[in-house]
Amino acid sequence: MGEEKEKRGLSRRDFVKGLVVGGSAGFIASMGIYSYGPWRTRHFAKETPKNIDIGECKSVKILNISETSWFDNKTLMGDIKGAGGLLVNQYTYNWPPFTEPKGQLGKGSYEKGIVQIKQWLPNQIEKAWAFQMENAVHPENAGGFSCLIEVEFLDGSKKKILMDAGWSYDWMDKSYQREGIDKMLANNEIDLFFMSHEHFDHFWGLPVVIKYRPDVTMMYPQGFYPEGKQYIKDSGHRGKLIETKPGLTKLWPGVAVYNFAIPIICRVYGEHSFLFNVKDLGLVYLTGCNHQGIIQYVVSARNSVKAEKDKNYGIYGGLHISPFEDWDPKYDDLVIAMRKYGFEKIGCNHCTGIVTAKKFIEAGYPVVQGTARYRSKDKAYLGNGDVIEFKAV
Amino acid sequence: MSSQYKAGIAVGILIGIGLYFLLITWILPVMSKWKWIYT
Repeated sequence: MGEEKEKRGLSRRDFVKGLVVGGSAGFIASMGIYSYGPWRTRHFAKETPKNIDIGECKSVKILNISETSWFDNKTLMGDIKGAGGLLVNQYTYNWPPFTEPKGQLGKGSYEKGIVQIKQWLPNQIEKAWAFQMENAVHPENAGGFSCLIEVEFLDGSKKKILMDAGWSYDWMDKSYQREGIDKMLANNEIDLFFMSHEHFDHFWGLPVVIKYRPDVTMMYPQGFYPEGKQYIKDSGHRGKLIETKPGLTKLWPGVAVYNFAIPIICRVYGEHSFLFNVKDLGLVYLTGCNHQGIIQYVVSARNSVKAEKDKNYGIYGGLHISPFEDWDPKYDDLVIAMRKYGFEKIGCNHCTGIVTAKKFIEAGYPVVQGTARYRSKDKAYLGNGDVIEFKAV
Repeated sequence: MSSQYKAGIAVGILIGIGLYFLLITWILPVMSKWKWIYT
């Protein structure tokens, strides 16, 4: 009787042990199956494409005026690290053009910097830059990002957009003169001056643009900090100012702007980028630095606008994948993910990173290669003075 | 490995799957509505 009881006790213990092992295995296996199965997306918000009709344009041509925002990664990263890291307010670096006399890294401010040069803006930028060369932290490392966009509409008319103002007064002035942008501004041929975001390498060269056309219509994204808004005034801008709100803004037939309300490194907020619906081709994306990320950019666009042939066609700009030429395995996921969006023409440079451009080429993507002129470092991507066009033949 | 142990594993797997199913379809959606959890 007692032996029988003992046997049963052992059996029950065996059963309970099995229950624990089996229960844990079943639970963990379910987690794995769920995480890699199609059911995982059932909690995602359902987005129905809005198919907003922005019209069509005939072609988009982009001249890369300058993509070399800085010339030495090590110097730039050393400054950022020395000033306290990537989240520090960019106006405090004592970088040009906002340095105080004998500026020390990370000890400056917009107010202390602008009083030194305000009297020379915008017409005597040479003097303002000479002051930077003597006092700022690494002024020789400053370059800038800027490009000229020419849109042709279905009726044959054209519009020119100048995107971003770069950083160094000296570098940007020479770059604008090299590509004839100075004359285009002076002759009022630029229909819109578009600031993609407030970063130093896109925005701080503003007085160079203003020098040639003080009343140019300027468009910038909501989220500029008070220093940035004051800089627009202090630079001598007298034209119309348009602030885009988060989401989609239609501009002209086939041309729209998408504003992403996002926090960005160096204490910047918000970036907007272009969408062009090119006849017989598809959607063309044009971005300054793409801090929103390639996936968010494409998904937001495709969920908003009606695209010609219902597809993506091309992309141009800094894609912000390896801006400091570093690499992380997670970036490989982005390179792989790009295939899904079916781009047929990729013009990248600037903060895309040369490493990324080479990875794109290795992956067989249709990257338009450059000529590596005017201090652009590699032919793997579109360099300074290079042109890309999106037009059906 | 006794037959009771094997039976325990089989029943355990079913219970484990069931618990995970309950967690995903009922417990987590209910908990996600508890706003106080974020304060």
